[in-house]
Formats: sequence, structure tokens, C-alpha cells
Amino acid sequence: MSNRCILVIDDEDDVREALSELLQDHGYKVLAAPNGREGLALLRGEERPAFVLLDLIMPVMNGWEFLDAVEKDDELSAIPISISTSAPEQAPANHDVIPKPIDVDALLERVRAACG
Amino acid sequence: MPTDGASGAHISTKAAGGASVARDEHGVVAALLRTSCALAAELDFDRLVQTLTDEATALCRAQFGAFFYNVSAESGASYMLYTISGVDRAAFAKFPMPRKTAIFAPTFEGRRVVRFDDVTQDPSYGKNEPYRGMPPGHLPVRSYLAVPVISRSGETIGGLFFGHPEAGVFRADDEELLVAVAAQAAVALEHARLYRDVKDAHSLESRRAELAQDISATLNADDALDARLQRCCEALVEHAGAAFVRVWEHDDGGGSLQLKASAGMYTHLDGAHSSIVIGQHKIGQIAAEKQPHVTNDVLSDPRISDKDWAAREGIVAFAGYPLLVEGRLVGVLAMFRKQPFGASALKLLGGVAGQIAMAMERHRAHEARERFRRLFLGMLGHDLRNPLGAIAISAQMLERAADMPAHADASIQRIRRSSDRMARMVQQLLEFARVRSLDSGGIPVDRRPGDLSDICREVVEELRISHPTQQIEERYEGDCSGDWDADRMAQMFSNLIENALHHGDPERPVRVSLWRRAGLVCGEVHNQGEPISETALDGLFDPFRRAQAARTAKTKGLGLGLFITHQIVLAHGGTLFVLSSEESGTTFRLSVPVKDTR
Repeated sequence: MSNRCILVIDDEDDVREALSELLQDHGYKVLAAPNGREGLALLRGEERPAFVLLDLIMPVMNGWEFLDAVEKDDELSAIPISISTSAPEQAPANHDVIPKPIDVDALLERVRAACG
Repeated sequence: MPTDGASGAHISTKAAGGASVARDEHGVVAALLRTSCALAAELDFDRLVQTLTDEATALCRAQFGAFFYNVSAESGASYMLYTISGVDRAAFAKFPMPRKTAIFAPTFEGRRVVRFDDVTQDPSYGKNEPYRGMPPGHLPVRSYLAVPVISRSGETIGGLFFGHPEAGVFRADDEELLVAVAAQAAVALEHARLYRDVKDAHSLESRRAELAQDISATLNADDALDARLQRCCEALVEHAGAAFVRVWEHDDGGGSLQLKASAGMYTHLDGAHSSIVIGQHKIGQIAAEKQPHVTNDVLSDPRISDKDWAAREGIVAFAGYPLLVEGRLVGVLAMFRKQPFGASALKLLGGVAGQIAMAMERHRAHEARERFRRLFLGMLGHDLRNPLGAIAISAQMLERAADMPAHADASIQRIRRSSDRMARMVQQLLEFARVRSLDSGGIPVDRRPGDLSDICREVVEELRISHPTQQIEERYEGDCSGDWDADRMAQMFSNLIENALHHGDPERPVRVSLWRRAGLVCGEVHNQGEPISETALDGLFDPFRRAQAARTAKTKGLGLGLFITHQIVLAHGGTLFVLSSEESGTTFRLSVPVKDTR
């Protein structure tokens, strides 16, 4: 059976909740975190998500720091990550970017591809 | 012990005992005449002192001669300069200026003539630190003769000094001859000085006006600060006769000065003086003390370290000014000159330093404001887009929900349209912030090979979907391929065509055309309908133009769309203008070079 667990990391509560609901409505299990550090803890938790949707500008641990940490961890570095940001020009190269405001179809396409 | 007593015990009056140098009376008269004529004919001060030194040295058969004279600055400080004869100036340059020691004082103080058959045998010789005699490597002087040059008003202008390595060369009649020459020289020097001062004042006055105007225009230009500083330095080289001029900027919060401009003999900005620690070297000391440092005698100035260089290049004067704004250091202006600074030149330079300091301060304040504005707009954009994101996603979710009542559809669409429009405005605001933050080049573009007509076609397709009731006619001619930033060009077309759809007569088609002409791709976006008023045409591409114009039912958004559109065209090296009239409607005309030619 395919892994249908998604991790959403975004400091804006409304955005995080709306995305979680949307993905749940489409039959995915959603883990949500308000910053990179909590996101990293969830990523290393019991259930490993198949896909991460990551905001960049966040308190505590921002998106760039989160990406650094994941890239250094051999167990996590293969997980597909899409960056959702209101500043797409600041997103690091060689990462998939979904500009905010998020186009739902574009997001669902990424999620489907990652979860199979 | 004092050696300048009234008895004149140390003035040797006996006949030369050592070397016997034949004396041709006829030759003496001829030399005297020549000297008189030369002194009378010469009005150029620098040439006059050299002539005086050369002729007087020849007249008394000295092996070497020198004339030391004082120059007073407006600040009250005085500088000693000299000319030298019979020996290379470089051989002399490394020695300090003579001080008022027992040997030299009678001459510098204008008291009397001093003559020694053998100065090394005199009891007052070798009494002074640090050399206790002549500095090592000094010209070997045994016969010594020194004559003060005193003006008619009693002021000691300077002193003539002569030396010979053999003892007993100078005789009593040499003294008499040189006293006569010194008297003539005093008159000639006074005239020359007067002449120079009048000439200097006259030419400086006209140059001062020219320079002040030049500097002021340069500093008020709107190009990069470094370029303006460079042109100021060049103006100082040209108008103030500087050998080279440099400006350093105080790095905010740091303890160093960074070289920003350099003109004249040296124009490079890297190298040993590109970064100077405050407090170190002459420039760093000026910064630390916040006091100007001026010398008309770099060869004896303890702050000037590279005296060999100065002697080699003929540099005699240095002026360095701290650049201060309300007592705060913003930089240092410094220059070297091959002629001494006069009082009016220094006054002028002080004024220029003040002007440069103000310009640097204005620039610094402008930069700080820009940084804050960028930061503020960046944060504002981010913070506005976040809640918008939540609204947009929620609206999309509602749109997809199966159990929504039919009448909710219109509301959901309104939420979507409004949040989309808001998102576009926020996007424009952020782009505006980015354009304004780049001092040169405007909006950044990434040009890659592509076909502009393909980009335009795609935009038209999208707009047909969002404006299904309106007609868009397209016409493409020739090869429209070139180097374009595809996203930016699409944004430009989208803004222009959407504008035409929005403002034009909905019953009449919007016409879009693109064609190739030589190295350019030209294009037009045209709509019929109410023309743009003349007042609105003026400054149509200015940012926030809507803030100044009356709102109409049709105007939406921030008024940044056309500003950004224009910036995209400019960033591609192109032009965009608009024609609007009742009869022919409104046409935006575009022309862009196919290659980056800048």
C-alpha cells in the first residue's frame, strides 16, 4: 500500500489548517508543523511522510535551515520537498517551488506524484 | 654655548689659508652683472630662487650652494623650502631641514654673515643631537659661508648657504660680493612674491568659481556616488593643479577608510592605500584627529613616510582634510602637489572638502532609507500574501466541495477574483520595491533565446479564456526570435493587453501585432474607446500615478502595472510609448532590440 502521509510546514496558522483540510479531503494523512524544527522532529518520528510542503520564511527554524538539515541526513534526503513561498525568487535553486497563493491543482499534482 | 655673540668671534675674516682658488676680477664683475640682470629679469618666484642659488654659488666658487626660504600659510604655520645648486636634489632630500642650531641660527634669524674656513674645527660644531655634526652621508663641507637675505622691511626671507669640501675657500671679498647679491635678491624676491601673489589670487579667483561650480554640479548628479567622487578628484587635478587626489570613505561602524576615488598620477583603487586603518599613516591620522594636515614641505614633514618617492616625483606639498558632517567622520580627502599651496588654494580646498562630505552623507542617508524601505516592503509583501494564501486555498476548497448550495457559487467566485486581484497588487508592490532598490539597470532580466511571438500568443490564449466575451486580433510578421526574459515579457504583454481589454470599448476588438524590423522587434497593442486624457498621458509610466489621478469606476489596482511594464521594456534596452486620441483610439508602441546590446 502506498504511503499517503504528507508533512505541511508553515507558520501561518490559517494557511497550515486550510492546506491540511484540503489534503485530508483528498484522502491524505497530514502532519503539520509551524516551523522547521518541529517539522524535522515529525520527519524523524514514527511515521515517515512521503512528501513535504515547506514554507521558507518562518521563526525558530526557517525553510533554508530545514533544507540544510534534511540534505545532511541520509535517511531523509530522498524525501521529495516542494517549497511554497511568497518569495519564489529567494527559493534555493534545484528545488520545486509552488508560489503563494498556492494553486490547489498544482499542489495536488505534486502530492499525487510523490505518493503514487 | 652660544656662538652668535656681538663680538662675531666665529666669523672668520682671515684670508683663505687652505685651498687657493685663482680669482679673476673681470670674471667677478661679469658674474655680478649677469646675476644682477638675471635677478632683475625674472618674475617667476621658483625660477628666481633657482637662478639666485646657481649664480651665487658660481660667484663664490662654492662646490655646492643652497637657498633656504620660508613660506607662510594662512594657518600661521610656516614651511621651509629650498633650492640647491651644484649637486643633485635627491642627494639632499633624505636629510631633515636645518634647524636653528648655533651654526645656522645667525643666518635664519637674519643677524649676520657666517663664514668658516673649516666648519668642522669650530667649537660650536657637532654639539647638537642627533647627528653631532653633519648627518651621515651629508655633503662633505669644510669651507662654509652663509648670508641672510633680508627684505627692506627687515623680514628675513631666507638664507644663502655655500659649502666646499676643501678648507679656506671663501674669502672676505666673497662675503662682500654675496651681501650685495643678497640685497639685490631680496628686492627681486619681494617683487616676484608680490607678482606671484597677485597672479595667484587672480587666477585662483576665476578657477575657484569654475571649480566650485564643477564640484557642485558633479556632486548633484544622479549617478553612482563613486563615479561622482572620481569626477570631483579629476576636477581637483585639473583646476587645483594637484598631482593626484584621493577620497576615502569611512566604513560605517568600522575602524577603517576605503579608497573610493583616485585621479591624477595614480588612478588605481587597489594596492597599499585601498584600505587604511584609522589612526595609522598620515591619512588615518587625519581621520583620527579630525584635523586637516597641510604641508608645503613634504620632504621634511615627519608624517610623510615615502620621502624618496616625493623627491623623485618632485612632490613638495600635501593637503589632507577630514570629511566631517556635524563633527562625524565620513571620509578623508587628500592631495599631493608639485607646487606649494597658497592661502587661497587651501581655503578653496577646505570648501570642497565640506561639499564632498555633505554629498557622501546624503548618499549614506539615502542608502539607509532604501535599505529600510526594501526591508519594510519585503515584510509587508510576505505578511500580506500569507492571509491571502489562506483565503485563496479556502475559496478553492469551497469551489470543489460537492455539498455546496448552488447560490454560494457566485460568492465563492467573488472571493477568488478579489483575492487574485489582491495577490497581483501585492506582487506589483514587491516588484516596484525591487525596481526602486536597484540603482542601476532597473528590473533584473534573464535573457535567453526565444520567440517573442510565441510568448505573446500564449498570453493572448490565456486572456481569451479569462475574457471570453471580448475579441483579440493578432498579427505576427517576420522572425521575432531574440534574447528575452520570457516570464517578464509575458508579464509585459499581459499588462498591456489586459489594460486594453479593460479600458477599451468592449464591442471593438483589441489588436495585437508584432513584427521584425532590422535588429528590433516592434509591436503594438491597440484598443478603440475613450482616449487617455492629456493629463493622464503625462507621466503614464510613473509609479503610483493613480494616487495623483482621480479615481474612476474603471480604475483598479495600485497604478504600478504600466510602471512595471515600462521597466521590463527598459531592462531589455527597448522603448515603449503611447498614442491616444478620440479618432484612432489608444496604441501602446513597443520596440526592443533582439540582442542585449548594452
